Amino acid sequence: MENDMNITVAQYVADIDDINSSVQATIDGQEMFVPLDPANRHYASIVSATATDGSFWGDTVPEPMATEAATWLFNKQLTDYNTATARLAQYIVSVGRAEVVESQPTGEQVYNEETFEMEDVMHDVITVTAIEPVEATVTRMVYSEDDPMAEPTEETIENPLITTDVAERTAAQATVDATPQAVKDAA
Amino acid sequence: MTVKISKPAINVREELADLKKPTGIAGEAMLRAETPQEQFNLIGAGRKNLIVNGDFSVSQRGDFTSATTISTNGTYFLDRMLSYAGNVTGNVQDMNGSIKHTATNSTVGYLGLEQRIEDYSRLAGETITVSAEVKSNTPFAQIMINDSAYKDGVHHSGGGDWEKLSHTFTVKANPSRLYIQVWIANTATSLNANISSGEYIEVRNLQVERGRIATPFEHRYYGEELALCQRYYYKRTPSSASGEALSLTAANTNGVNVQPWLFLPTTMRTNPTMTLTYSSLSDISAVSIARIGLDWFHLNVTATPASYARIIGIAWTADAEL
Repeated sequence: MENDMNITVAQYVADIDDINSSVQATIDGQEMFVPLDPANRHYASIVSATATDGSFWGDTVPEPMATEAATWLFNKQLTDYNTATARLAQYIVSVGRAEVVESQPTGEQVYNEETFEMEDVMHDVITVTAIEPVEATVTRMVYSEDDPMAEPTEETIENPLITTDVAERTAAQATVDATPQAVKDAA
Repeated sequence: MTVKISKPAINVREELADLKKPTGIAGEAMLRAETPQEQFNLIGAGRKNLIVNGDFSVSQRGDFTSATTISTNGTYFLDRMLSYAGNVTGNVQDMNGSIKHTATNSTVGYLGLEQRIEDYSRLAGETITVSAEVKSNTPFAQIMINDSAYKDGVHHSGGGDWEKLSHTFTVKANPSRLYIQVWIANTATSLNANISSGEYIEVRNLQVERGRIATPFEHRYYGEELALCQRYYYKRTPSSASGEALSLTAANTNGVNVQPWLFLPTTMRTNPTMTLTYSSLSDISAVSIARIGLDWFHLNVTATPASYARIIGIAWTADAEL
């Protein structure tokens, strides 16, 4: 679980040589001086919060924070996109998966007397195993909460494996749909 | 010359029977160990506890011996211990050797503590055992870890007594983190549990060690534990509001900037977030912190005309927590 930081004010602090050296920020109601260090949790939180809503910087987000936040957002969207596409590439449990057979060389070669050439000896290899679709529904026994002595009744529901699969695929598709084209192009 | 030597008779059957004396599982394991290192690991000898402040003795941020509201989910109170009150209201209390989290409303959420292990990559693929003494009045009280995703551990009975809980986990080969939780939660897939107001979890002697065996808790001296904690958080408190002042004799020109260099007591995990407080400023118009290093920081002071300027009752904190 990530900690929820509430950032309300932020501004760069310059050192004696007029170089931005820290961020003076109000986080969870307390004024802090945050080093420009991605390994610092407050700085990481400022960058991610800026990517979402940088209004705590004032009218405009100053550089280099604006660029850093944009880079952070791009990388996050790229990671989320790759995770989502990998999830969508998995087979649909209600459909199953067909077997895929490929003809591959065994490493042996024989002489073809008609073409006068050495040729690979081929054999069939299963590269993707078949998986049967799961049952569309399952039956479960339902016990009465009001009357523990009552006979249980049968209830037929959608297979929970399908329910979970559909929910995860829907979430993954939503992530893909919301991903900017520039991020997709970089994937 | 012939010398006759006599020895007392022995019963060979009895001697052989003694050799078959049962040694127990632990004894057998020790006998089977092929190297001293294996024996060392079996009994958990040496510095073993990967948890810092596992006896909850260090509390630099303040005195939390009275119940203190967790107003922000995921806040440090006792050193190195992140307190959560997720979707629930709750408080935290230092019980002098243990830490207690109590729910103050009835809802669906999670509540308790987490410690984030810094050097988690060295535990990649290893077996670790988490143990703690836990007291709770809900069976949702449990140990979990998160090494990229949450993993379920072992539950308290909810009977209200102290129980020693221990669970062995295998850290994934390429963990992105290692967080240890002892909290009230539902499951690894859905943390939110049904929590009633007044339900609590109290924890003492929290330990994480390599291997499959929960060995006795490793007690460390307070000074050692404090030094370990200060890698992640340090608080400098003046003895009185007016008694200690930082005097800057160089600041004798109007508007001049000076940067006194101050040091932290130890090298911190990363460049820390600093807070600065003082009771008053003398001949100084502004003070801030500009540059921050692993064990130092620069004050940025703008002085006004004076023979010397002073920051009275100066105090600071340095936070390099995970």
